[in-house]
Amino acid sequence: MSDDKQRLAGELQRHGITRRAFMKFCTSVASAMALSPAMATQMADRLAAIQRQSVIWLSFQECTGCTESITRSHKPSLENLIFDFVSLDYHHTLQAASGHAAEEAREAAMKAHGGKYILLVDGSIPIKDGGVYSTIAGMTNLDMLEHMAKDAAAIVAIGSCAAFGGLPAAAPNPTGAVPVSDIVHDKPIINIPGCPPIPVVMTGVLAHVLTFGIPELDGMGRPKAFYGDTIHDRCYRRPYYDRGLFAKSFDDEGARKGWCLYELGCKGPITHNACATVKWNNGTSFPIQSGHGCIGCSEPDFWDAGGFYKALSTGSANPGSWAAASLAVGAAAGLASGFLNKGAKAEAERKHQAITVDDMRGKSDE
Amino acid sequence: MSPLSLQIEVAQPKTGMARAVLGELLDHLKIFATSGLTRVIDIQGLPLSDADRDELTGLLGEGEVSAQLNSFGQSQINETRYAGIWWLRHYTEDSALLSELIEITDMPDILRSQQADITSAIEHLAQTIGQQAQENKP
Repeated sequence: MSDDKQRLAGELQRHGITRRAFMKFCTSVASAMALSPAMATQMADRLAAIQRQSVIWLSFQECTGCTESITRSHKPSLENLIFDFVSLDYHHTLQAASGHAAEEAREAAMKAHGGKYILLVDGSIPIKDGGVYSTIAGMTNLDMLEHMAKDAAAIVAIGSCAAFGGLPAAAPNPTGAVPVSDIVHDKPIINIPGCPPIPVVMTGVLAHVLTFGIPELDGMGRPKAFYGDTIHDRCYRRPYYDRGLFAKSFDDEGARKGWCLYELGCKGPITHNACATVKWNNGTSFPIQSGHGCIGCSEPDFWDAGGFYKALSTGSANPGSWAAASLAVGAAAGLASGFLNKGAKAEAERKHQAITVDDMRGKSDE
Repeated sequence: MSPLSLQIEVAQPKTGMARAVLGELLDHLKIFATSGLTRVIDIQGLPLSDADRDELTGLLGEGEVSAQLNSFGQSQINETRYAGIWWLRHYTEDSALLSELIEITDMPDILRSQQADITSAIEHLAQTIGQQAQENKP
């Protein structure tokens, strides 16, 4: 087999895909990744030249939502072809093998591609009581991650659980759940948070790793191309925020007119993600477009950071990780005072917050 | 029991973004005219409401050239009424919008025949000529 046939270019040619079609695909990926148009051409050249890449996917304390999301990546069928081209050597949900055969496949892939495979991880890792709270084939998640990370070229932590601990790490964190970055310290780790992450963000980052290597990351290990802006930065309702036009409840005139949802608890201003531009369900919409505020699912500790329907200006239970203060001041200072006076109640609410109809109407602090 | 139908309409009025984009386009067009520096704006990356998008489409209008690309789904490529400003819409094979771009250039690159395709065209054309010669042998 000639060298070219082992490369993606050969695979594309066999499927009758022209260079122009491939350019079209790369233009779309590059624009989704906020790369310059010149990069689209480079991306096409490099993608065409990639060889089969071994990918090992480990699922730990997770709900399979991330896998559900990536397998529903509607974006072009050409993209599917590229990910068919990737050799997914181990994935609980998608692989045909089970039991010992599956675990042997994982070990075999690790040996065959030592130092070269990309390790994808979704789910957090429980470390309390020796990690007994989640095991696969008798092996704790902790042991498996340490074992598999050893020979990986890079690790991609998919979803908020693998990136930041996510729901399993929510107070009181009964299993001692931690993110990948708490366990592995000597490998490059790319965090792709979100609950779940946007499909094209996952596949786009993978395409970037295959072509240009590790993308530029921010201080939390997130690719800047997708997580560089906040939802608020790119929200089509932003002009209303700037003009001070806010919906006060989910059924008032402001809500019907499509005004800013800040006072109804939208976490857009402190949430770094690409939902406002890439959108969901094949680019159809995103939460704010359907009239609900952002819940900040791609930020650390989002589950413990105060109610989803509490305006950011009312303070959050975990201000350390949510840099809300600077944004909060201008918009709704009046709302802040009532909440802060309820010290004991706020503490109780922090531990167990039930959402009431009044919350939904934006009246919780009256 | 009749099916529950829930109709939610969230208004998406004009926010003024379309005019802001026009100003940006004018700057890019001036730069292109003097330096030849092309530019691509990703429409999906802009915070536009549906009304903003309609306004922008209306303001830019349609110009002299309209091309359709049939390559892994359709693409519609139109020059706007302002020469040098092109509006590109790429669709997937199942007609979903893949990307939407405004290009400031004299000719969007994707319209040109690509080198790799020309190379394989040479191969195919030579094959065809070979086959023709076989078939027409006395």
